[in-house]
Amino acid sequence: MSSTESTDTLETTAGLPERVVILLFGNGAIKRTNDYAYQMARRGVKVQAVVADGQGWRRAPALHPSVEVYSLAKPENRQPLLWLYESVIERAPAAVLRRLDGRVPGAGLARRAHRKAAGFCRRNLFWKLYRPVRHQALRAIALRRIGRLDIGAADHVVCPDPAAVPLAWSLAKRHARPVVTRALHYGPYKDHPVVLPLEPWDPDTHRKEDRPPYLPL
Amino acid sequence: MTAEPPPLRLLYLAFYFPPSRASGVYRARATANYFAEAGWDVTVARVPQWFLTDVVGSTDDGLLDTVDPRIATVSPALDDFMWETDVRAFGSFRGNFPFLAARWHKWLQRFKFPDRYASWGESAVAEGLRLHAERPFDLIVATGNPFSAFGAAYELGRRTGLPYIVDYRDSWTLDLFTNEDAFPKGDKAWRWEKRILENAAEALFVNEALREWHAARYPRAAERMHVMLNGWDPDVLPRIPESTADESRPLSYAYIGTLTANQPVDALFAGFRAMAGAGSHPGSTLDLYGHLGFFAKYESRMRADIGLDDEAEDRVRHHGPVSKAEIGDAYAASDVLVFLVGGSKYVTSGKIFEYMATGKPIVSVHEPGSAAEELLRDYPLWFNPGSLDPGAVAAAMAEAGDAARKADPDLAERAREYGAGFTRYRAIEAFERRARAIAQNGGER
Repeated sequence: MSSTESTDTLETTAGLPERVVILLFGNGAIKRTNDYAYQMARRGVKVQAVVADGQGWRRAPALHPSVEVYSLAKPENRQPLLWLYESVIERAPAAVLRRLDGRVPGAGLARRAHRKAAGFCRRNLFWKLYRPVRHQALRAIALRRIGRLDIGAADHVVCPDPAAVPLAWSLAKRHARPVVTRALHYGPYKDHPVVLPLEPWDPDTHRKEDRPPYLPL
Repeated sequence: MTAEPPPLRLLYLAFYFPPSRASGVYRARATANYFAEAGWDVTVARVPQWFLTDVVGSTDDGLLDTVDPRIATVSPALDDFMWETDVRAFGSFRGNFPFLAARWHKWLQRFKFPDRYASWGESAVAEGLRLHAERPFDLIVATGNPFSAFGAAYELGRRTGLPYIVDYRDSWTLDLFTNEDAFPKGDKAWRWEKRILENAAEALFVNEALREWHAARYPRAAERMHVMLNGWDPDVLPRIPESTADESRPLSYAYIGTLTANQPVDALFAGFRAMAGAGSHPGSTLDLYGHLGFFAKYESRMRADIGLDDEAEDRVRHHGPVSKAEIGDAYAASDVLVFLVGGSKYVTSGKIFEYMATGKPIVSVHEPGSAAEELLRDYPLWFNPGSLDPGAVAAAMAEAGDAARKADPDLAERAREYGAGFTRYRAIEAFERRARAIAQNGGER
């Protein structure tokens, strides 16, 4: 860990990792991640997360404010085929119909019909094709950008989400130091003293706006 | 002078065996110890150690010392695919294509026994055949869950001709918490259970309600179904000193055992608060001894779910796990015992025998009609609220507190005498005699 980073993190009891990086490509493990991050952060551990919140995260709960979150949304959404699909099937027709709404008879109906059709295509075409390759595409994107997190100096890399396994596996091959695990298990550290007075994070009462913004990776 | 006949050989398939701390481990330990003391040559097949330390997350090494040294133990392999969390240990196929690897693994399981521990059962068969070839066994006993142990016993019986006995510590195809079928119609589990029970030399259940349910489902095996009650272990539970609940100190209501999400914890807490709110037994505390959940990784979630992290709740105290050496102290520090159990008429819970052996007042907090009520009915210090309504639970707790304050020595002695009749060994005696007959007759029915 660099000297700058170590000053950011409180001194912790021996045996406790000082920096944990969590990889999340899907939003199914956010609640568990928040519990884990809260318990680790209040014991003085710096928790960072790499999230792929560009697709399928609209209803995802926000991550605990103690977590420094790095987002892959922009580079994911800039992938050529994905960008083309969204532009041609969703954004361009929606923009045209929005402008026509109120000016041309039937445009409102067409706008609603387009919204339904675009939703149908997203569920039955887009995700059917994109889901099987998304984790591989995200691995390539993340590996090009993750250098700034200095993974080689992190203590733990955790991937609770199965889609992030290829990235975690590649990181494990490249960096010998961090423990790379799928387990969000803070149990071994529960006896360590709590050094930061943090509050638990209830995603039902807090929103993404209530926490520091996600940083672009 | 004739040579003494060689001891009968028993292969005991018990996935959870010391140093495991699983709730059913005491029954397995007592069975193996009893058979060893009765002159059997016992070999136990149990789960590999890594599963207890890395997956379950806790062991009870003290319990291991109480296993008869004459018992041999083997640990057949368990496929770790589902539990491996170290990404560095993944091969390149699983590391690069986790979803394909998971599908492939599932496909490989398609013909196997319908249980997540099927790979252990398969290894147990291989290990059992190897040991049988070295020196033949006379009998196989399997205890479930996991029910892969039953599958392994069936397969070993089929391949060696040995008789086998299955011991249902838990039910397999009956959901004890909803009293409904645990598997949809046509599921492989039904076919396997039928096959296993119809070919078993005997099947054991922990209470009569469960035996009846299985006898009705599998009438061809009904006459070979027996009840082997659980019991308390005198080596674990020392004689508890008589209650000293004088007026000068507040009462301690205690639950001793593993707390799980299936138990009516909310009803207990609400009843306790209602009793405190009504001014009965001021200053009394609710003391919880034991693990939270069977797996260490769920403990934090469970603490939050049942409100143990709530600092305002200072009268509910969680003391954490209690080792074998300390369990007597926990009972001695308690004035009233709370019998907290999920499910209804098919659930007895082994804990109740230990509770009764202490001779202390017991308050039931469970659905009415639990199988344990049959046992508690004749216990003189039983306080039954009759429902999970907080008011009724509070009233029963208050009455039990009054009984603890009164501390009638004759009543306590009668309670203790009643509980003393339910030792684990007493429950196993008859089973061992039948098992001996089965082994000597080679499983002829």
